[in-house]
Amino acid sequence: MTKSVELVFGAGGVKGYFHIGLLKAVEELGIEVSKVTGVSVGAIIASFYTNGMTADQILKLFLEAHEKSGNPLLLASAVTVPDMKSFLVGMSFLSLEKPWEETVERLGLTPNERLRILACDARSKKSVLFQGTDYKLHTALSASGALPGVFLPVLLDDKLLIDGAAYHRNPDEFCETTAIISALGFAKRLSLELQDPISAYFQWREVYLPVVHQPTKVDKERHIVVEHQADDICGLAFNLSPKRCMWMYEQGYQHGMQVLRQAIADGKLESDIESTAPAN
Amino acid sequence: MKSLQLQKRILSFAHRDGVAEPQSELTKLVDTLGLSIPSHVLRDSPPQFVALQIALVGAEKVERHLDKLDAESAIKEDIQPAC
Repeated sequence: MTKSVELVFGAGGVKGYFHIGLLKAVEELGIEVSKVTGVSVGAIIASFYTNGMTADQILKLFLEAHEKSGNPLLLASAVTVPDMKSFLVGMSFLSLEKPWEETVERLGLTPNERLRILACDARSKKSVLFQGTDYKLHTALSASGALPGVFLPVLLDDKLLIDGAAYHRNPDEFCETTAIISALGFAKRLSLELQDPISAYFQWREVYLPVVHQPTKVDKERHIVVEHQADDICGLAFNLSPKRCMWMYEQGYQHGMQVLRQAIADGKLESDIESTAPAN
Repeated sequence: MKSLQLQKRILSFAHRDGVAEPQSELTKLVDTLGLSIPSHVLRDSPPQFVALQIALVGAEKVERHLDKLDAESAIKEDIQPAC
């Protein structure tokens, strides 16, 4: 039985609410977490968690930020004039670097030994892993979420870095021990929920014309995989109702609790809590 | 009050005139209100993060406390003798 496990929070934009629900289940079951690997939205949650926030606190911050994101003026600080090299890779005028630099500073987040963030080298398509304490957290978060066609890549040394999901959406290869992998599924159909034109466009792109290939295969024998599915929610549907966001959180919690209890019953995981019979 | 606004207010409180060590001011606030914040967070995290934790954990309790302190200092200012 594994005393402590790692966590992997995969990419998937707004569907990150599922991760927070799973994190709540991990906390309630008293599962000891050593390291956390994150990609894109997963990197944000991993950064918050390894800096000492609880699932409840992360949920609160997400909902508060979500409430604001309906305001298009918030994108103003993301608009930039790209150089040709970056533009050819990102095909965008939006950069995450400045907003993340301000946010990391405002929240007081720091890189730490428990955190790994994955980005991808746009040219070689090889992984670029941020770990340890000697890097800038805002650079890692900006690179990890820089989905081509939406955001500009991040220039670091001689590399142009893009969304880590282009290397792997749920990277398990960096884990040193058994990991709980929180995997967010792709949107498969268009939502019936009323959407603004920008969200509708991104959903159409995600369903019918994915920008980058995102490998998802993980070692299910070695790790505990919690797969979250919301067929009609696109990763970039940032105008979702708070009710739908809470639905994802609750689903993440319930499904996560079920899978984790089963893993404990099967002897793959250790919990501090006595009563851990699998839920029906 | 929203967490980030409250965080800002807590930071202003910790950096107010006459405070030599803002970090210990935050620790004092945690102790006074009996908030449950891990000691390693108080010890190792930047003041912004500690203030955010206080805002997330304490919320209304912190707000009430700061309102009270503001009101008290306003009264003190009122009773200052005129020069």
